[in-house]
Amino acid sequence: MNEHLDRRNFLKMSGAMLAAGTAGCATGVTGSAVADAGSKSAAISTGAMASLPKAKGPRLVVVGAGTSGMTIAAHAKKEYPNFDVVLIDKRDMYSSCFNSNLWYVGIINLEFLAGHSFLDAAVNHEYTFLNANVTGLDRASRTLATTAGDVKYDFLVLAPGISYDYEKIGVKDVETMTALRQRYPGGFISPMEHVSLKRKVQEFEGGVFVQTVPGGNYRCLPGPYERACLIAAWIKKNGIKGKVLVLDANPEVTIKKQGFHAAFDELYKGIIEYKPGMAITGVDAEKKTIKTEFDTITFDDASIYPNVRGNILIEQLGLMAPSTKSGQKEANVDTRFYNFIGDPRVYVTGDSRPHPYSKSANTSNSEGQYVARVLAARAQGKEIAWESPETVCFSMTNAFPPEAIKVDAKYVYDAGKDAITGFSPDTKTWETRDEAMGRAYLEWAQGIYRDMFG
Amino acid sequence: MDRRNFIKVCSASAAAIAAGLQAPHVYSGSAKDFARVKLVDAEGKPLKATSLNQAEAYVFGYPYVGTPCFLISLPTEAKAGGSLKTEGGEEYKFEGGVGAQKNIVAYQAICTHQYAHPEKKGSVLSYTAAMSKTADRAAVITCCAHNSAFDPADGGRVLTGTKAKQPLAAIRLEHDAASDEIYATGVYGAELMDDFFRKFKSQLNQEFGIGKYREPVSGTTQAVLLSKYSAHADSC
Repeated sequence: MNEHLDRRNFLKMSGAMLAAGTAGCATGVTGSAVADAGSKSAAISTGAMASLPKAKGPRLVVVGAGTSGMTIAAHAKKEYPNFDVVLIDKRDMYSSCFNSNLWYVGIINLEFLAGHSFLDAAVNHEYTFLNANVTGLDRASRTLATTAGDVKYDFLVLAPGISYDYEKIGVKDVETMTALRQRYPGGFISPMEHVSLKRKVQEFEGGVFVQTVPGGNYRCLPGPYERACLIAAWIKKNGIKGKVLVLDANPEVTIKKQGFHAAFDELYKGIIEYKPGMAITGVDAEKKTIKTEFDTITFDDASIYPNVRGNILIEQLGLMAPSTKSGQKEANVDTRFYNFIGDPRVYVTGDSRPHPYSKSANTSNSEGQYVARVLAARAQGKEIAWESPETVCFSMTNAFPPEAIKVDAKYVYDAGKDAITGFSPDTKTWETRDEAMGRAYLEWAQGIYRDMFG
Repeated sequence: MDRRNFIKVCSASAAAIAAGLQAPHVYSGSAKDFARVKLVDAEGKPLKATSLNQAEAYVFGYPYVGTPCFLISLPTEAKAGGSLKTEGGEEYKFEGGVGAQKNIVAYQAICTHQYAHPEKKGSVLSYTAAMSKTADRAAVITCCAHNSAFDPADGGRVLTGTKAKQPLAAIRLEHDAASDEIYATGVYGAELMDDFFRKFKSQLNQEFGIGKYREPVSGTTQAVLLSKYSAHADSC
């Protein structure tokens, strides 16, 4: 990204921004396609204000209609009725990432994931939904640039989620990255990945299906293991001559390991092959081979889940933490209150945060409710005490019948270090799979949908 | 005596004398009054307080057809406790159970966190007389969806460290000592009912018939064991 170019064009093309020209904190989203010098398409502001009802109180703009952003948008006005809330997302149709594994084998249908309207959420929680892409940010004038026009804010929350980091699995050329993204999607970001993975599972006729598990703090720690279990259940039920090969960059299953190993051993012996310590160093999408430090593995089909990083929007808007604080290009925010360091008007929440929290729906839902209270307090010149998010997380380890395991974790904040130092002592796991937890899993998801949309 | 006057004059002893009833489930704050409804079994026979099953809760609709409640016979007396408060600021005081053993209580069976409740297909909200891993204790109401837990012996209070932010709405009960029958007469802390109806409108229409869920209950209401009411009753 060329920041000089961005700023120049930003100022040139946005009358509203001129006053802010000396502040030096206007940044824009360009991407490689529009970074060429002189390109008129490098504009990050349309030069016009977005068509929005006049703010009737302090305007809270929330970017990203995933679990974090939707929860904050839903709760902010309840916490502080004067807030005028605008939720912005590039999507106009919701489909949740959480629970998506269950769809691949028919435990739930697509309506379960996607039958939730941004319009209903906006009406029910009295905010405005704006369907647009963010293209730039000028923090001095508190202006967010979007493809639908500029939006002024009093408080801004960015909750854009994750981006994939293919370089960390040794894939540095854009051709291979593109091939992996399209042919062997990780399935932890977008609904189109879920649709492709569902097709892959249902079309699988035999051979080796590889599911990779990245290192680092990736989204949905148990997700890849759960998916391996469900695909294995599908293979078993349909008598397919195939197996799921789990290539785990970590030395051991990262969460609920007893429950997952029990499923691997008791339900899927000979169907799931679990290989820990398999950090990927390269992939050949044409030859369908994966390289690790010691092996070259051939696959028939795969879901290659690369490492994750803070959403690239965070970097593009100049909000990324130094590498000493986040090795995953996450946002540089206050540990307890989520504001960008030095700017109490801008917040980053959800999976772009640098915290070592589990990047899961329940974490974002509980965190979002807390951040709504932080924002409500700050809009009234107050502060509130820190509260830990909570990670209640189910994993379906069997599909026929649906049986699940779960964990319930909170986190410890160390004031001396100003850091999250681990799980709280009252963290519990339920690792003996059963159908009751399978049913509770579905109600867990419905509760979060209701909180966000209902 | 109508409900309004009952509350007005109600010191527990005065009410007991005036109405010929045992000291009812009284709170210092104001309850929302609804019809006085007798709890009956699936055959329409009055439930008797002294012969209730203590292993699990009964489910009855009150004050509306579509708002399920738990009737619970606790192993010991539910003693008067401290004040309770809803997120909306309603304050009221739990003054204990009814019945000869003062161990019978009732709560709206709608989790105040994200509204899980007993449905015909199943319930992840339940009362368990046995030990609960979620709550680290027995005789507790748990919601297995997000691990909330409530104390039925203390006004439905949220147990420390669990998810919900306000107590279960409490059903005001009366016990007729002569007949051993139980009546529901009102609700404390019921501020979430409208939101519940809004969020579950389509499911409630399917479960009870179009618009039926919001019809007030009158006369009698059937209370059946949760394990009979729901295809699955899960505790945790």
